[in-house]
Amino acid sequence: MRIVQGLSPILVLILLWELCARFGLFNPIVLPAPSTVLVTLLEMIGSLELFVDAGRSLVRVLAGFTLAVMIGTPLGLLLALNQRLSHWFEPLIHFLRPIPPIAWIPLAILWFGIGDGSSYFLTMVAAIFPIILNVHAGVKSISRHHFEVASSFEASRGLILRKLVWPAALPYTLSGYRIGLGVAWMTVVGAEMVAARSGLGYLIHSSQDLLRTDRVLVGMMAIGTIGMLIDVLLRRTELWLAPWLNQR
Amino acid sequence: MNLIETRDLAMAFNGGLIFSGVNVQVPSGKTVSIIGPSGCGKSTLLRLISGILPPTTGEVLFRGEKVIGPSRKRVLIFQNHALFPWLTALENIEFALEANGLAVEERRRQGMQFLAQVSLDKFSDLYPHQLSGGMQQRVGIARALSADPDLLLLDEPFASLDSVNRETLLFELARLSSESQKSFLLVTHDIEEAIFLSDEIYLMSGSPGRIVRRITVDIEKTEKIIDLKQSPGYLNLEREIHEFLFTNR
Repeated sequence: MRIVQGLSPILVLILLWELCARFGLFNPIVLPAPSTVLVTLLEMIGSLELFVDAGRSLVRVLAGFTLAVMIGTPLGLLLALNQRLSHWFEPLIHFLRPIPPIAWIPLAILWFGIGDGSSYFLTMVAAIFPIILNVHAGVKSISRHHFEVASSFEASRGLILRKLVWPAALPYTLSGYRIGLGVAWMTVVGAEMVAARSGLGYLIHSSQDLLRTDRVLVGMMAIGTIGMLIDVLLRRTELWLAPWLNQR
Repeated sequence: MNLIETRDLAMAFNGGLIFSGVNVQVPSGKTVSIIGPSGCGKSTLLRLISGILPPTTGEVLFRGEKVIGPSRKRVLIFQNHALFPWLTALENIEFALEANGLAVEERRRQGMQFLAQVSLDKFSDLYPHQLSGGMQQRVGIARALSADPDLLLLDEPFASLDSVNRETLLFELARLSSESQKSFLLVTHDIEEAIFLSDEIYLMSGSPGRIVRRITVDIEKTEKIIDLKQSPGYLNLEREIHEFLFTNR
């Protein structure tokens, strides 16, 4: 029922759009008919072109995201657990955070050139702040009582980190990863429009130059679909990694 | 010999005095209660004795030595049990055993033993939120016992339990204290619990808190709380404590 509810407006919109296009209400370069887009989509799937570009974008996002996880997670933990360090570095983080990832593109091109390096860097920048901030918030959310229990048992730092801090912060951490990956995915498209010669962002940008609006739309659809799938996948992972949250 | 002795303990937070001049003794193998109104600093006092918090002035002696930090010889049991919600009942106990340096298989084996002691070995794989309040508190007690402490510090352990669960747990604690060599220091505002469990009771007054009286409980303990509550010795004691708490509010 909910699927029908969600799909009906989309179908109606497509139908209207198709009708308008058929009656020549607008220039097909400005907005091609859905049927044209569908044909292009099938062509690009058939030629594997769409998969190649999507694959390039995904690899870039995963590389940048992995870097962001590897750097952002320990950084968030450190800032939350070490008061002195957080006094030093929190202002810097709050200053850098509001800068949109795509504002880093000029610097990225200067530093890493056109290509994968720039994309790795930009997606890393995009993903790292939600990760740092969520890990930090997760650790800060831990009850004082739980730390008192641990120190009452004279638990070592390693044990506290493994069995207390990490699992207690995990729901926040995973949200941070999910948000980070989402932002990284949006950023890679922007990055590829300027700083790459492949990927879905490059696909829509170059198709616009060729006035192939149908290809632009196919690219956008792919970007939306993959972004949605990533989010669903990570939500599933959350339930699997934090089973104690399941039956609440 | 006294397991715990406090000397003129005082505690202040942000300039406000919580309690002062607290001198409390817990003899080895005995159960001692502190009764006082909310806000007299009872819970804070337990934290000082455990070593989690340092006192503002005064000192805590454990076996005659000054307490300078937390120790697994003095384990706290919290009112809200403070189990780790991300660990199962067994894993919660294994946490304490791992802190004690035990290897994996030994942790598993002893963990199950301690769960069995509180009759919860069937529930070892359940998470705290899948257990009832009474069961959670029993896991908390098993976890504390697994560290093999000399002293268990209980911070209103029955406060959030219904009357049946509470009575069951009261008896389990009474059995534990009579069967083991361990000492118990219990903080509560419930007179019945204090009389039922304790050898000695300290009465505390509120804001700022201080110890106003020490009472030795020398009445005969009965099988059932209902019988105990109707014995003349109990009634006298209860009246005495009750009046004292009301005149010293």
